[in-house]
This record gives sequence, C-alpha cells and structure tokens, in this order.
Amino acid sequence: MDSGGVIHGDVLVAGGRNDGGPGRGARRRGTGLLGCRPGLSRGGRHTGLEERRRSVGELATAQRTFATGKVKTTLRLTTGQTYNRIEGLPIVFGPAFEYRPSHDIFMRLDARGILRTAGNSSPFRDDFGYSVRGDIRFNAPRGFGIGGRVYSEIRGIEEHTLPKDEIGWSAFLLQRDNRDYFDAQGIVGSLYFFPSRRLRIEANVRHEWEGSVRATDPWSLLRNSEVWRANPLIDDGHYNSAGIGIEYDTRNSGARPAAAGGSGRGVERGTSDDVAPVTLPTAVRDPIPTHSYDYTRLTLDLRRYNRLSADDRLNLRLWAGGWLGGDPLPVQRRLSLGGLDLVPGYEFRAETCAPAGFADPANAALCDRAIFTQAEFRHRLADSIRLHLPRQEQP
Amino acid sequence: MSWTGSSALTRCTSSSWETRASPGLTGDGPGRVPNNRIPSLDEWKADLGVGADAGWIGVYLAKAVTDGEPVRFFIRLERRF
Repeated sequence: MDSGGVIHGDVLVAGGRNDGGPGRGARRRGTGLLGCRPGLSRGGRHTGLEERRRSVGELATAQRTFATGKVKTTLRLTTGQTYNRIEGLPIVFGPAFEYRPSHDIFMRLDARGILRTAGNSSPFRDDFGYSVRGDIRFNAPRGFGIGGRVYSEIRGIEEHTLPKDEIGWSAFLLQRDNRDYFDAQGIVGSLYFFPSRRLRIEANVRHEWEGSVRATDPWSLLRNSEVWRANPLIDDGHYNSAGIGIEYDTRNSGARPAAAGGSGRGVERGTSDDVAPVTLPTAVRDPIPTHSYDYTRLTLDLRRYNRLSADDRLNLRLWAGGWLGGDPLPVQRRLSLGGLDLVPGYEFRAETCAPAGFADPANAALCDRAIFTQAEFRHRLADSIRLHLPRQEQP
Repeated sequence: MSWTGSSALTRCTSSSWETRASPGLTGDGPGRVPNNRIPSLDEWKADLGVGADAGWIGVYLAKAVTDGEPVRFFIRLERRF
C-alpha cells in the first residue's frame, strides 16, 4: 500500500499483520480483523475464522528472504525456541537456500549455527553447536526424497512430552526444567516417500556419539538462588541406528483440529560396540554388554478428533512406547510418568521405575515402557472476544 | 482522521479430560509386566481434569484418582493435544 493511501471499509488481513495507522503512511477507516485466517460465515457465526497464532519463539526471530535467480536465500537469527539448564538460551543463526531447477525437483540446504549462552566450564559440552541439513524432493508434493544432516546438538530425552517452548518458559520463569538432555553429534541419512499429502513413510540410518552433559546454572526469574535439578548420566557411546517411521495425518488444522485424526509410529534399532553404561540397580536392568550391544524401541501415537457439534469436540489419544526387543534400553531411551502434558494429575516424574531407596538427584526416567490414553471433551464457551483498539482523532 | 481496529479473535473453550497411564518395567519378576501382554487394569494410574483456554493460554485443574495426590493447578501455553 502506498504512503498516503486511504482504505474505506473493513480490512481483513489474512496471514499477515496490519502495521497501518496514523503515522505509518497509509490510513484506514472502519473495523479490521488483524492476523486472522479467512473463514466462512454461517448463520451469522464465523465458522472458520481463527486467530493466526505465532509461537513464542517466533516473537524473537529476525529473518530476511531474498531471491537471486532460481535460488531463494533466507538469513535467520533466532532462538532455539526454548531455555534449559544445559544451554541457557540457545541462539540459532545461519542461511538456508532453496533451489527449484524444475517443477518436479525441490532442493534445500539449511545451515545453522547454535550459540549456547549458559556458561560452562566442563569438557562435556561445547559452547557452539551446528546443524547442516540437505534435502532433495522429487515429484513434490507426491513423490519421494532423500535427505542428510550432520549435527552437534543438545537433544532432549522424552521429547514426546511438553513442547520445548513451554519447557523453556517453565525453566526461565520458575527454574523448573522438566526435561533431560544429552549431547548428540553425528550424521543421519534418510529416504522418504509421500504418496499423498496425508501420508509419509521414512527410513533412516544414523551414526552418532551420545554423551552425558552436566547442568549449568543459567539465570531464572524466580528461584534463581536455588540449584537446578541435576541432569542424569546416560550410557555414553557411539551408536549406529536404523529406523522406520510412518506418519498419517488427516487433521484439518495442526493447531486446532476439529475432526479427523493422525498417527505416527516408528521403530528404531540401535547398536553400539563401545557403550560406557551407567550402573543402575538390577531391579531396573541387568548390566548391558559394552560390545555388541543392541536394542529395539517402538513409538506409537494415535489421535482422533471428533466434531460432535458446532461447539463440542471429543478428542482421543493413545501414546505407547518403549522396549521392543534386544538388550535393555539405554538411559536416554527410557520413560517415566507425570508432568503437565500426559498425566498432569501426577507431579513431574511421579513414577520413574526406580526401586525404593535408590538415590538419584536427577530423578531420571528409568521405565522400559509406557502407555497413555487420553479422552478430552471440549466445549466452546464464547464464540469470540474482540478487543477494540482505541479510537483516535486527528484534526 | 479517525481509525479503529480490533485485535485477533480469541475463542474461549472449556475442556475436561480423563487420562490413564501405565509406565513400567518389562520382563519377569516382581513389579514387572511380562513382555507379551499389556498392563492389567490395576496397574494403570488415572487422573481427571478441567480447564479453560483462550487459544494462547489455558488454566487447568487436575486430580489423580488412583493415588492420594493433591489437586494440581497449572497453566499451559498450548492446547493439551
């Protein structure tokens, strides 16, 4: 919109922001619905109009995209969208390149550096990490692709629980980091098929070093004088793994699905010839072999979103995962119960499968398997709340 | 000139849920679940909860019903699932 332009009537901004107003060049009159998705009106009610949500991490993101010929380049400076007792606030920066040589081929190279802001004097964690990902897709959006990634990153244990931005806010505000971490450095290659927009099948092979990291002492708004919960030791070693994953998603919205369902499942088989295991009570597991160690692990996540009426939803979920075969699982693949996400009626790590009397300041998750079922009924209390901006008069 | 505007629409939604969970150790022996079956009903833990959310933030109460845990109040920035 050119400077000085005037809009008469209502404004609907779909998928963006309206920065107009006095002093911003363009002027507008009437009401506006800002940052909304377009929708339909039925019987006087909006049926599909939703707020366009931005994650908390996006609020601290600066990026610039420009095109040179067929190459689109994005320069990015952002956070890791979390805050934790290992890295503090990770700062992520780097370029991404997209190249589409023809209609059927899409190529992407994404290079990211990671600056870990929490001070650390131990040799178990570097101040810098990285991730370089390459990806080629053929016959998109239905076809197949190959990808690869080299990385040095801090990875979470039990990542199926709370989203990492909520983990970050809990840690930053309350000094409660409800996740454990380990250092992962390696390379992974993947081959994937997407015969439809709903279905994706992926196979991958990975070689990586997995090592223990210590909790540091990043600042927190409250309880800053307290000591952070220790980060558990893991079974260090070089691991080779192969995995197969299937995702089938028929949801009409990833953020607020009204109907349909989704499922994801994966099987991972890992091996190691130099694992340095943590000593655990025999009630949890027998000593694992330091050579020719192997395990198989399953993850299953089934969801169903049912629209009962215009205002009511019934959502169902089944999550199951854990040991499937081979030797006992390494510490970094084990599970627990409790916490705000899956079973919030129980405190964090209410059940870790540790035997009575086992002293563990990290309170590590030690269970072999876990299964969760959830049924949730949702009812819309209010169709919408619209907060009007103040009316301003200008002579 | 004059101008007015309005913020993003926000829906308020109530939710109530029931969760069952069974973490454990596999294999034979006390406190373990054999590899070839799922846990029996008495090996599950359950909770009930209610809450309300406005899309970007929600407040909830949850209570374990299989153990004597206190009622827990918590805030989420995203929907539970």
